Amino acid sequence: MVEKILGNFLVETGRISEEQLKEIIQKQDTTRVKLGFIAVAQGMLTVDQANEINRLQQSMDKRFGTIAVEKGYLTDDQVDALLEKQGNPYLTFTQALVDAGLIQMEDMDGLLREFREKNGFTEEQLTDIRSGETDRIVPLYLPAEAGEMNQLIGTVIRTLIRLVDRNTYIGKAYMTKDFPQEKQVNQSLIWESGIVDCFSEGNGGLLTLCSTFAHEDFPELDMDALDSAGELLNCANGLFVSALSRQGEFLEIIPPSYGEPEGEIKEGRICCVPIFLGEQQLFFTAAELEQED
Amino acid sequence: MGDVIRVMICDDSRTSRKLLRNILEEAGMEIAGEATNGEEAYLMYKELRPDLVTMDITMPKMDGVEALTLIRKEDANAKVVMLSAAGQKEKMVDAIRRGASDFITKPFEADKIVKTLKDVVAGE
Repeated sequence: MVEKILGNFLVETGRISEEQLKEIIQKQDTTRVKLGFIAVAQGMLTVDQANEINRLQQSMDKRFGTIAVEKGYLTDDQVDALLEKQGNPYLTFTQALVDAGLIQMEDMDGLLREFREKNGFTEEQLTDIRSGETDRIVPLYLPAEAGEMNQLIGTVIRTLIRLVDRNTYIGKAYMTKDFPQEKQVNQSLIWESGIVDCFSEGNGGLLTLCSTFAHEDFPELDMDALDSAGELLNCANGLFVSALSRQGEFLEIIPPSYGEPEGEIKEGRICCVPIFLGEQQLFFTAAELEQED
Repeated sequence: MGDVIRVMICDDSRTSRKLLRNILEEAGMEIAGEATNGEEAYLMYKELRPDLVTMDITMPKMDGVEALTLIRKEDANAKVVMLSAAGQKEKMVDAIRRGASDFITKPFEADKIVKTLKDVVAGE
């Protein structure tokens, strides 16, 4: 995500071209080394242990290192050492830009200052960007009013990165009065109150999401295509409710819907997140539901 | 039973059924039938008597837990593996208590589901 966020800034300000950004990111994708691979190569995990953690990671919204520590296979210090070897995506991206001669090392501070000012970030928030970690970057793009919806939004974005496109990135989210009515699939998560969330079309991003997830080329956003997005939404919401259940909160998931959402939406409690898959955009919207009588 | 494992898939999502069908057929299993809700699954089970059922939980009309209960009442030896996005421990425990052979959380990995289904059929 950090590569697209910074890379787009460099393209918008004329420092690099779209093509150059594409090439750098493509090269990074082919050379990014998985944590499990490094751990096995270093003799810190067996192949079986690494495979076990990879399998668990498929159905848990947790990082490889977190699961490895929970299983007792690695310590926190060992995970930190592995992460260092893997490389901070921000550092590897900027290194790649310098190596390609697209920017100069001595210009980085100035570029970052300009980026920070353009986006209204504080120094602390810029540090979060430079961490390269999705978990630290996503909250920077969410409005303070999003409140409890933050955790759900983070889970959905991470799921998209894992299951659809590792270069998924988001734009500045905003609170809105309107919940999407057309070209959307939604799902309600119910407890004393609840949340309803949905994917809706922007400029082709939802169709791309549907096709990629289903491994099928949908020519248009028909019911078969939307079913794919509904299933992805279901998986992401499932990860969210599973995490909450471990914290002692139980939510009921309602089957995805393609029309009116189930439940009454609280006025003023709708958060819309623009999501980008390449150049195409879709929206993820989350809204709080009124308490049931 | 024969050499080929006959599986009945139950899920309201066409995408989920398709992805699962592709994985299981690739692994040499036969898809005996596909149901889109729990009620359909129960009726289809009585007709097809598959070796194993994969059952989603969150479905319209009748959910997977209710369908599991009916199928197990119909056939005490029925093998049903729950396949659900809702991976809460309470749901898993409830399903196992009602007779589910195993519980896999979505999104699932191909190798894991094939191994699980084979183990369940083999009685492991």
